[in-house]
Amino acid sequence: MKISLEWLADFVELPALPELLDKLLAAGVQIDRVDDPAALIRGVLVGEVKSVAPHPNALRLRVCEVFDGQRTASVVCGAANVAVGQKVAYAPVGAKIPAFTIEARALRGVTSEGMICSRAELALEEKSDGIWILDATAVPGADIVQAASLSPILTLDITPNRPDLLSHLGVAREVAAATGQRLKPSTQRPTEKGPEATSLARVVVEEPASCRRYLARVVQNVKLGPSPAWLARRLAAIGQRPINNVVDVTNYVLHELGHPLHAFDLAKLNMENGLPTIRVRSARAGESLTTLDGVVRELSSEDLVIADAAAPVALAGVMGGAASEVTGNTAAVLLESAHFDPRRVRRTARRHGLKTEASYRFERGADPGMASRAVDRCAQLLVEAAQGDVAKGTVEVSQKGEPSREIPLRIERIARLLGIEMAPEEVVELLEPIEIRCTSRNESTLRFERPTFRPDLTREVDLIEELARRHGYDAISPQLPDASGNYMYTPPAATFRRDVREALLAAGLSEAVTWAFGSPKDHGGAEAPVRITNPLGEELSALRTSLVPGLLHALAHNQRHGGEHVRLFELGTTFHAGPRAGELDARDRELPAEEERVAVVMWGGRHFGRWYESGAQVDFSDLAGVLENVWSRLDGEAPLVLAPGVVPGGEPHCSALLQAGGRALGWAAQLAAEVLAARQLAGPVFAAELSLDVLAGLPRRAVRYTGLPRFPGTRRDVAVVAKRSLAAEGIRRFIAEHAGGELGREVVERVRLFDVYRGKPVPRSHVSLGFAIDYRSKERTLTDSEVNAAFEGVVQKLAQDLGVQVRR
Amino acid sequence: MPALRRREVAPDASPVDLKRIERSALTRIKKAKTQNDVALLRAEVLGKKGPLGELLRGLGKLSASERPKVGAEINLLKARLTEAVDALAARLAAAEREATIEASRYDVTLPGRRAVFGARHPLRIVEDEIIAALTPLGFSVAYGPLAEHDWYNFEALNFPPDHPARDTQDTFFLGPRTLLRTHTSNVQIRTMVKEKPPVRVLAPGMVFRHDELDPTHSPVFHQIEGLWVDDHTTFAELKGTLYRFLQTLFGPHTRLRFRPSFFPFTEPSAEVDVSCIVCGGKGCRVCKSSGWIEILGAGMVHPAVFEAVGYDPDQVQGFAFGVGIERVAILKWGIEDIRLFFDNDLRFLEQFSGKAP
Repeated sequence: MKISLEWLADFVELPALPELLDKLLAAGVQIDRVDDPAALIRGVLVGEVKSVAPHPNALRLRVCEVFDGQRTASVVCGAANVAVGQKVAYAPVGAKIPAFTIEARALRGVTSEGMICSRAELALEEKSDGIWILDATAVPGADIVQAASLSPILTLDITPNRPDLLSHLGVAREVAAATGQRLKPSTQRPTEKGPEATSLARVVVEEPASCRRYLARVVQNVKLGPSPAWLARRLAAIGQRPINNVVDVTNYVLHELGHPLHAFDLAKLNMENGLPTIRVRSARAGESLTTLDGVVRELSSEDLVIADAAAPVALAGVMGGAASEVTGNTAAVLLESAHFDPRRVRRTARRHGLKTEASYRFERGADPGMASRAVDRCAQLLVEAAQGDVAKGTVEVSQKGEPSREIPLRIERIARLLGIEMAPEEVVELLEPIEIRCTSRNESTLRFERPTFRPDLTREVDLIEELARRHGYDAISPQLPDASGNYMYTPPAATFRRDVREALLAAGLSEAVTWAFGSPKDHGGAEAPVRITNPLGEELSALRTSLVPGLLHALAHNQRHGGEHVRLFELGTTFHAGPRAGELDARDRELPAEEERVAVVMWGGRHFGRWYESGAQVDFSDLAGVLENVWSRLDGEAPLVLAPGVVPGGEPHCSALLQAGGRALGWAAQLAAEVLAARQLAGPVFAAELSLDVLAGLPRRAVRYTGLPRFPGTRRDVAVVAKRSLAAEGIRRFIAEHAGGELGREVVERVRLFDVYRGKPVPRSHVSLGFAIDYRSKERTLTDSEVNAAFEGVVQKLAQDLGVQVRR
Repeated sequence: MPALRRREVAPDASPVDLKRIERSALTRIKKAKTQNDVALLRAEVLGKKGPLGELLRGLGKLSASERPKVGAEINLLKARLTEAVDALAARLAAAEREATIEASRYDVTLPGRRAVFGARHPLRIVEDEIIAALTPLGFSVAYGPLAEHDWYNFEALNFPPDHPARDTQDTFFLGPRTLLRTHTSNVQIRTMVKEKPPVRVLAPGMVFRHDELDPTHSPVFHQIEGLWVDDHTTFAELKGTLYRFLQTLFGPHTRLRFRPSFFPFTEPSAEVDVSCIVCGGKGCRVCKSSGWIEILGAGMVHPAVFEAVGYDPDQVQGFAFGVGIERVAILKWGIEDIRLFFDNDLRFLEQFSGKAP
């Protein structure tokens, strides 16, 4: 939203620019940028083109004589639109334009004493077609900044609650309030001439709920042509391209007063009862409308349209139709100034993918009180700009019983909410300048009436916000809140996640953050992923079903950029079709299931390529160690079990399913060669993924102190040559189960795997495993002979039951 | 027999003989290389069976008047040679020690064999810092779903259907009424629906907006939101909380500016600026010469939100604020491209913490 200060000054005295910006900022008007052409231009004058001659050496250049009020200079110009008699922006030698300072220079052998400028060259617009042609009344030699009223332009970012600020008048109101002024009085009713408007057109509103007010004026005998220079200049200054006087006038009023208007060619409206007729109604199935942008639009019964006696002629509040457009043959126009329901306009605009200056304002809430003033202003301008005759009066259909605009304000609520005391008088004084008027009061409550241009004010708290804004947010002293009361608890989810992260960081893994959506190729697999209906692209359309693809993506990035040792983890959410777990309300049942997970990928040297690595690469046991570290950091009660199993995407010989306390936690594996090949990854890569939700639900070890052992223990070692398919953990547990023999299981304090050997003389299909068994009794010192007996027992049992070869 | 032969050529303790004995001993000392050579020297030169011993034994043959003088000369020579051999022995011992040290010298400058720490993600570092700054005030931490129902993400937060405020948050939809949350404010609603006031939670997490990825926009980013509700919380307390929070985060000299703004779920609403953390407010490229940087949005919880979750807006009041984690990280470290956060390039991640490979 662009505001010209020169235009704004029609309504209010402006303070100096920095003060103005501060006041607007404090009032909550966000200023995106300030463009002040006067600050960028120096010495550019109004010039008059006295003659135009071809350039001797260049086809596209012309040599012009330009009079600057005192002397005539010879200027080379490349624009096609230069012509004798024009008043132009002439930058003589030494003048400064935004890009550079003008010097005399030869162009193809002809010296140019300055430059004829386009608006773009003066930073007044993005792009120009040719030079800037000034109003014919401009006086040669005048400074361009004054002559063309070049004004600072503010670009404002208006929040959706403040449609009243979408106009020069609206911003002027804020400036007036902030600087303690009243608005300057401005133009009122147009000079009327000729017949009654009601004898020239009629209006029927079939949908009063969607159109509470429809006002029309008829202006006859308009002469279509270019707008007056002052009007075209003001529109151009705020980035609006002048089109013709009728269109420009409606556009001008929109930016001045904030009220959207539309001009129909009266002669093109089909008649009913002998008069051109406007019908505000819903579109009918099968109807279509060619809008001003030339698009044929199929209408739906939900669209609110302006129709004539026969067919729709405009999308109400959004865009006019091509058939009733004002053209060179137009003699009489019907000016529409209406108030449409914001939701209806928004739905129609969205359905047709349109966003216009009109729909933007109607969606946010145009001022119903402005309809009459806007149409008057517009009619009056048509008299000035198009020599039109304004027919007497208006054609109006308005609904009675305007909703109340009264809002009560309890005085005690102000201090309770803001933390500052305000006396009732002060409250009234603060609100009065923004036209929120006190209508009645008693000891505890004031009643106010909001102005029609503030649809955002509907309840007490809205008035309190206005008070805070007028008082100044910065004038409210900060206080620390009182944290007493029955509320203080350690967030278990946060602590739990922190523990998992700390364990992984301590194990040398770095933390990754990847997107929660990705390619259906990565997240397809066994389960169909949840899809985004309006994705940024097919590759970003699936909600992730696993964290691992994201981590592999990061691994690939690091491999491409010279990373040699990459270990990453991520804590994140995955999404799964099907209902959510836990306590559900009706809304939750519509949502996909989510799971918090942690995933790990590892690749590269075991010791990050440090000197003691000796070529060792990470392997599955490094991965298992990381998972054991996490589990030990969490102090889980049941042991973490890695059982050989089938993992999709895992190498069959090196895949494990993770369990603890009888719950499935996830998996760990060496990734299969085809998975790596598909992503052009160097391997071997080891990965794991666990459910944090399951992990968080598993019981933790309760700390219980037991005294240190009082009797000596004794150790026996046994080596077992077993098939590789026979898992070491199984053998270990077998030994633990049986090593006590007749002494019972309690005397087996611990069985520990202390050696794994592959290679000669052990056959390739086998592995040699060394176990140490610690025997200890809590009650007495065990004798050698009883321990030996127990040990011999388990040695024999190993050979018999497991069929392994035992060496002592 | 060698003794006989030596006796045959037995010296006679003349000054000439003493000189000769000394010269020959010194030559042997010079040539000695090992402790074994030293032992031989001690036995064969200084020992009783050596030439000096022999001379001493021969003193008896001399006259009583000559004996003391010659004896003294022999003893002097013996003392000199003993000293030389001792010095030799010490020298050899030192050299051997030196050789042993050299042979087994450990390079103490080798990088240590260590457990390498991984790097924290900069977004998590900022999230942790924010949580650490606020939990002492009494906030707890809560999480909520990322795939959310329109009601929790919009409607209960006073974004009615067909309201232009929804334009400010371009949304990814999963279905007609389900979407990827556009802010972590859904956690506000879920917390209040479940709990009775007072409520004091921080809600960190991933959020989504339908934006194309470029250096300053990402369709996926992170927010942390604070919500404080009880029966007397004021706007002044919101300001106090944000002063404490932002001065902890950016330093005690940070100044704050509160500007009126609009969010559907707060009223009054404020946009909060901090004095530029690069130039301190003097004006620079980062703050576009204004001296201020927009850092977060905040406000008093809108009564319509309380009504939606079943609280009585006459009985409870509170404040909420939300800050973009990427935004803070970008400002804090001068990161020029938001995409770096999601590449997970270790050369990037390792700049913020932890690891020195």
